[in-house]
Amino acid sequence: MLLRSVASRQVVVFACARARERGIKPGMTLAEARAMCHGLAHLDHDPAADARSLGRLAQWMIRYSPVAAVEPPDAIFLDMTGSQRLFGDFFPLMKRISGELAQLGFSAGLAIAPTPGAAWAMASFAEKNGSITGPEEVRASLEPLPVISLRLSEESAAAMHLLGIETIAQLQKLPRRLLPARCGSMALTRLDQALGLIAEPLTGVQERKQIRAALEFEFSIESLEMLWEVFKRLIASVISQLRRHGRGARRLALEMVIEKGRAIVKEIHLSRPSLNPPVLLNLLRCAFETVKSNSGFIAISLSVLASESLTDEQLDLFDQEARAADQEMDHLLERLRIRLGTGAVLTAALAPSHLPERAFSLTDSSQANPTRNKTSTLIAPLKSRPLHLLPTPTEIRAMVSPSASGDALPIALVHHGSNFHIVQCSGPEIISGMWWEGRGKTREYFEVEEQTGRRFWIFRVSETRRWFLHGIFDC
Amino acid sequence: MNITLTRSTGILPVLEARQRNPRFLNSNRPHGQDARATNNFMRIIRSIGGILQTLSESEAGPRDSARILTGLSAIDALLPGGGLTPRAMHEILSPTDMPSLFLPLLFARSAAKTGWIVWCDFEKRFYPPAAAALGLPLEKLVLLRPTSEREQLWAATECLRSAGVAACVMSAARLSFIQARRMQLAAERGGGIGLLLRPAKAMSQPYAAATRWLVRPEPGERTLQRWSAQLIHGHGGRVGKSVLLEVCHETHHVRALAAMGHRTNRAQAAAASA
Repeated sequence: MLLRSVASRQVVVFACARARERGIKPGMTLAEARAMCHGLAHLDHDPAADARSLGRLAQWMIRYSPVAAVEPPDAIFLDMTGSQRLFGDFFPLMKRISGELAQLGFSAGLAIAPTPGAAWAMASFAEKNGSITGPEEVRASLEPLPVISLRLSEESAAAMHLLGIETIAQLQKLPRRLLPARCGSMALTRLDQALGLIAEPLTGVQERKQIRAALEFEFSIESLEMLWEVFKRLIASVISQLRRHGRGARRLALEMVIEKGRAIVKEIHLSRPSLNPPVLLNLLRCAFETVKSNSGFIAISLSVLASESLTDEQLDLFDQEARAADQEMDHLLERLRIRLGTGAVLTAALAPSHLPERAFSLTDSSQANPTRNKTSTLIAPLKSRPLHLLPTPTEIRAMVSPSASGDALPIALVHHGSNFHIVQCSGPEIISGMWWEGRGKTREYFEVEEQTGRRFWIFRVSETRRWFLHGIFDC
Repeated sequence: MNITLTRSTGILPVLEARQRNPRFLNSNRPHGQDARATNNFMRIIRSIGGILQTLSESEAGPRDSARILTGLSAIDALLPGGGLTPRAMHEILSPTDMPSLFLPLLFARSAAKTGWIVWCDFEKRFYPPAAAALGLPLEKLVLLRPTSEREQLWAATECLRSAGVAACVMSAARLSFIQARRMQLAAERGGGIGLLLRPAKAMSQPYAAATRWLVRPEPGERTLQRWSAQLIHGHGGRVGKSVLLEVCHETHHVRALAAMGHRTNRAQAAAASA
């Protein structure tokens, strides 16, 4: 189920078939839908992402017809003139399209008609999915359909509803000159377009070819010098293609085929779009260093998975020095990420938690975008914290001062078989566990110093009286 | 001969003259009977000339660029030139079984004004809130957690080579001279400082660093932790002198006190008697 926020209400935009079975309809609020169905899953509606996805689908559909036009919000027109000769007939073509769409995970209403308007109406409102309408049947098949099948705006559809006009047949009976005044100028245009009285030209999406460069070799190559040369050529080819589009590479895939036909694929993420050959070469070399292969390569290809326009490159003329340093840092982080792997290049931030092991968060630098200087609102706590914190506390044995109550101070520790005599001790700092997560044990932290000046951060679990070493103050 | 030795700049012209005219130095030895001694002497002079030449090269770099002030006058006073040498490695040795992070943290903190801090956290024990409390800006920190020491060495060298990095902290139990030298060269190229944390047993091993420090824990007070930091190497610095470092764990206030020799002696005496 998809939601859209309208003022303070959350309105259902789309509901899946199972939700519709339960009676949930678009236009309801989330609270109403929840009342009908417990435990429903919902996501925020992202119209921009829908539009992008539709555009990509139109690109993909160029395989069926040279003209594939996007009709927002959810339709694609294909100009099938002449396509039937290539695919046999309209019927097998339609079957093939619906089959391949299903493979991609889309369910779609399909229709073939002499005009785009009629096809849209049939695909959206015809009883039978996949109808094929011939030129002479257009008028007859449109007449029983509701007026909104003419792609009308909500206002004109509402106006027609007030007039009692529900179907296209009723609309056609009205005098033509009255229509624009009553129902908006669009109604007449759309009707004529659907009937083929006015032409509706389609603007097809531009076919975007994947930018790719590949080299195949007659014999497998192994020497590094040759590989660098190959990389240089691939980069030069890719960059010249990117430059034509005014775009810079953001994500690259390096595919290296070894002799047995197995391919090694390495992905390279860039922090900002780049057309810089030395930078790309450096990244490719870093990526290659992580490749483990005993045999040589028979083919190498480099393809651009994502690119971005480079227009913003020139904007920061004033701030060039800082920008250059940022860029240099970005390149460094890219190289580190490629070589060390994800999860090894991190940025740290303070987190609001009273538990010492949760008082900070580590995020992968690719997500955090570290070059954007962010000011943290959290201030480091004015409490004694060690510079070394053990990932998990280790149990130690402690000798405590004789005391009747439970608040005795530690006077000696045994850790890894060695004895530490405690000369300084401060504490306890009492940190309660997260009882709401079912881990309610309270810890009493002590900062202790042994004879030679080494300091440990130890705690006693109040409930079990057991001692743990959690950190070491710098020694 | 004495004249040429006292004027250090005079050696090279003499050597050049010697190359042009092999009999130049022998001219005041009319007999020339002790040819072997002369050859030895020449070899020494040549090696001195070579040393002077490398010294003048390595000194030329740091002198024109600004030193990094640590903000703690007692430490700055020990350092050659009154501050940390940029474009160089600095080694911090610790006699305990863990790397000492406090002094490197102070150094990194003062370098953070000019760029990024990269901290190699191979042991996965570094605790950022404590570093933040001591004044390290976390928004300028990149934490690396490499999976092997080899990867860590590569990453640290790569970071040092980059101009965006102001300081790179790495601890290494074992490091060959070639590896250390490679890091120093990377720092010279990148412009930042490299802070290399090593165990104290590396003291006798060859190194390639502008300064070396030995940091030892000292007896503190209830919420006051102390260390002594001794400058054990650093051309032009007050080598052999110590600084007593002090941090209050309640206020996170850091102090550095110069020449507290008697305290160290007393501590050593106490340790010896115990």
